[in-house]
Amino acid sequence: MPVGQLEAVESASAEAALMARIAAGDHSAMEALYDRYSRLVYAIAMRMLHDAQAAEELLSDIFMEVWRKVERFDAARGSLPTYLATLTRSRAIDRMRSAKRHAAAPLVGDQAAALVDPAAAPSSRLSGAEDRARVATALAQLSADQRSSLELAYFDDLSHSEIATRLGRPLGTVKTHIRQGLIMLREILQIRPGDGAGSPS
Amino acid sequence: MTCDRRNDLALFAALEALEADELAELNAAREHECPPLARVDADAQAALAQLGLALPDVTPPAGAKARFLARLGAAPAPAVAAPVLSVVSTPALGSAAAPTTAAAPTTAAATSQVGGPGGGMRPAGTRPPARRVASLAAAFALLLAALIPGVLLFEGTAQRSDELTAQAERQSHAATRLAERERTMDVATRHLENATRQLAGLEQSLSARQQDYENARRAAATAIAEREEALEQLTATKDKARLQTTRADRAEARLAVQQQAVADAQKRLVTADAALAALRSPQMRIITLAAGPKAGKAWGRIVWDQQAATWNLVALDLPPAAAGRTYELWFITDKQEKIAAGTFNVNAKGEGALAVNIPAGIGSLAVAAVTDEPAGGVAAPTGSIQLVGQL
Repeated sequence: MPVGQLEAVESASAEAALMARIAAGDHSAMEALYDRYSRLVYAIAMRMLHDAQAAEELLSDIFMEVWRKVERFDAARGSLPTYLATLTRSRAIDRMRSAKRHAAAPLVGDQAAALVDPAAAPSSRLSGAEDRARVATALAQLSADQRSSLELAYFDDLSHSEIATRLGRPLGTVKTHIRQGLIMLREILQIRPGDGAGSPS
Repeated sequence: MTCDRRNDLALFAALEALEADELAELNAAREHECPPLARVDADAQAALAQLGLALPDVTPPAGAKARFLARLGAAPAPAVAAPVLSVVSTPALGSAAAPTTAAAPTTAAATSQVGGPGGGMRPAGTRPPARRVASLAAAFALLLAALIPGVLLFEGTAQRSDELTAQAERQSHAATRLAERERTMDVATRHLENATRQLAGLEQSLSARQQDYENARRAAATAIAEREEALEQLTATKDKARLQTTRADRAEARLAVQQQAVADAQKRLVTADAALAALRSPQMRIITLAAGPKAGKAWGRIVWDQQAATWNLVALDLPPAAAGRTYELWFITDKQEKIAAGTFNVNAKGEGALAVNIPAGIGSLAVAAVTDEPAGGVAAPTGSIQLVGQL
């Protein structure tokens, strides 16, 4: 077994142990978890809410949610940072939308939200510095337009049309950029050298 | 729909970026024989989470951790297995004032520790949170003090009650999830109904289009047949016209030949009349022309009417001029001046004729000659002498 993979497994099992302690009500485990991931959660919160106070509230809410609903995390199905990133983004979107309170909220977004369970545990096993470096490398391969289109959709909750207006690009181009970016991200997860658990199809 | 397409749509759905028609398509494919949608959703969420993971870390503000831990229920917390009991038992040993004094220094320490130069710039900002935490802690302690007897007496009951509360919370959560799923199913059912209605409409419109197409096809076939018929008629008419044109051309050609013959005859008549008139003249001379050095047996005569100053030439046994050539008659004076008199050709029998007026003032004539020259004639002789005669 390659060293990197061994580390990943060790890291995953360490995280599972940490979560088990949290499930047992261990505050120090919760503090350790906070020390480890508060910078990640806060980074996403700041990127999405652009407000230090709101971001700190979200940070606190996220770790409280982990504390209260620790059983939702399934280490066998996904890595902890991925779970935390997904949860943070989902809750930040909730806040952004309730802040906007626009009556004409796009029906599409609501229906899509109903389709996708925000608590569904991702099946990826990505974790650790090595994988984050690999993701950063892969993202660097996206064009500036592709990446900003994808980030505007993910972090800023903009529709394709809004992104097209923001970037001054045709709608079709924006869709293509987002689609290519998404597929590339998915491939990062599915094609893992030396890993038997590849594409689910 | 292919699984790839379905999975792409699921990716977009994870981003909540689907257009209405794409969402309908995805809903229609929920029962498709692809990997379970929930799993694809999860894959998509994991993929998108990489965007978050790729962000550079940002350290939360000073005091954030302390505030979180306070919220969690314990300042610098000891490792204890039962967090609910530890919260209850700690204040049970002291008075209501104990947690107040304990909580305030901790928070103050946390803020002053990380304050540094930045903290010095806004000292007023650090105090209200500390005071708020202190008063909150005091209220909390009062509440606990009020609850302690009950907690101590009914600790077991409280534990069971906690378990029941947790169970109720889980059930309520499950019910919420169930309601969400039902709502999702409702949405999907509505989409399916819409899609079915749309399909029926499409089939109807397809049938109408097929009828239209059939009608158009028949009309086109009729039009083509009519065109072909018209084309055939046109061809026949053209053939007839071509035939008539040919006939007309031939008639015209014959007419031209006849007109030429008439013109020739008229010319001959004029020449003959002139010759006759010359013969009648009281001052008439006839000059005989002999063949030139290379002109074979050709000969001719000129009837010279000195009163009218005309020459009537008749040439005989002269071969027809070659293509692009003609015969030219010359007045030659006693001073050897050569003046062009006119051109003529001979017929198939070698007969030619020419009537000319002698220009006034050219002096006394000494010789008449005929030369072979380029068609149209020239101003001074260049060719060989065919006929020549002394006057």
